[in-house]
Amino acid sequence: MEILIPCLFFLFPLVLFFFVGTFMEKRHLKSLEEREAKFSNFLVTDVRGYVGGAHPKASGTLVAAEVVVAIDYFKSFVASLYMIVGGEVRVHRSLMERARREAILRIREEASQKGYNAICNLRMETMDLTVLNPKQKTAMVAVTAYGTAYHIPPKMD
Amino acid sequence: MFVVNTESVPGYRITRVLGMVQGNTVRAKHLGRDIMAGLKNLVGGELVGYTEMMTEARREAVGRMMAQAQQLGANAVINVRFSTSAVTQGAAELYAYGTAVVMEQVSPETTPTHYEN
Repeated sequence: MEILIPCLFFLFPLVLFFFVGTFMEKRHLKSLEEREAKFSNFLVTDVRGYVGGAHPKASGTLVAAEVVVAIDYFKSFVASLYMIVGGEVRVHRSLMERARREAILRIREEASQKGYNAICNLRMETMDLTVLNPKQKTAMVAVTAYGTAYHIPPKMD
Repeated sequence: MFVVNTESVPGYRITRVLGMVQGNTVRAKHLGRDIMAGLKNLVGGELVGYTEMMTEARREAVGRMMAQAQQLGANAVINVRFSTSAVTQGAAELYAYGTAVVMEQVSPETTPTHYEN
């Protein structure tokens, strides 16, 4: 019985944040899918030139967006187990993927708000922000997406 | 002023290249944000306070870069790049650089989009 109490203290947050973290992740993935579906016709490339031609009626402009994400308590525990056996750390992979998709979506939203229909020369920049909190063991990463928004002329056919 | 990360601006032509311009800023964590981030760190997901901090930092760096370009007499910065680094524990640097140029409108129908920082 006496061993059980510290065990509960350790297990309770793990179970709690497993449910909370999974719920938050699922909600975010759903929102990403819904918003990405809206932009299915919006061209985003990392090519240096204006793919599809740039309409001279509008000059291009820089669009940029940042997303800072952190991993939840349960997943950071799972990640620490991965550190023993090695291999792909899936919990971090999905976190990074979500952050990048979110950042790209934000620049798409910004560009379409300004009346553009494409982004070229997309660049991604990531930064490990755990340096800001050296005591904290959980991963915290900043993702920046930037590119040039322009207007593709309608096809003549 | 035009700011793009491509090498040209639609409807415009480069008439003069003035050289590289740059701007940077180093940001430290904020105690209030840190407490919120500490809580959010348990739940996972986006840390909005830190996202705002990074956005502010980027605007500051781009603003300094644009001010340098203005001083040179440029009306555009092309090929803009961002770079980040961890200077020391507790501080993060954001660095923006690009090439300052003078551009001339070639297509009369173009409405210029000036970068709003």
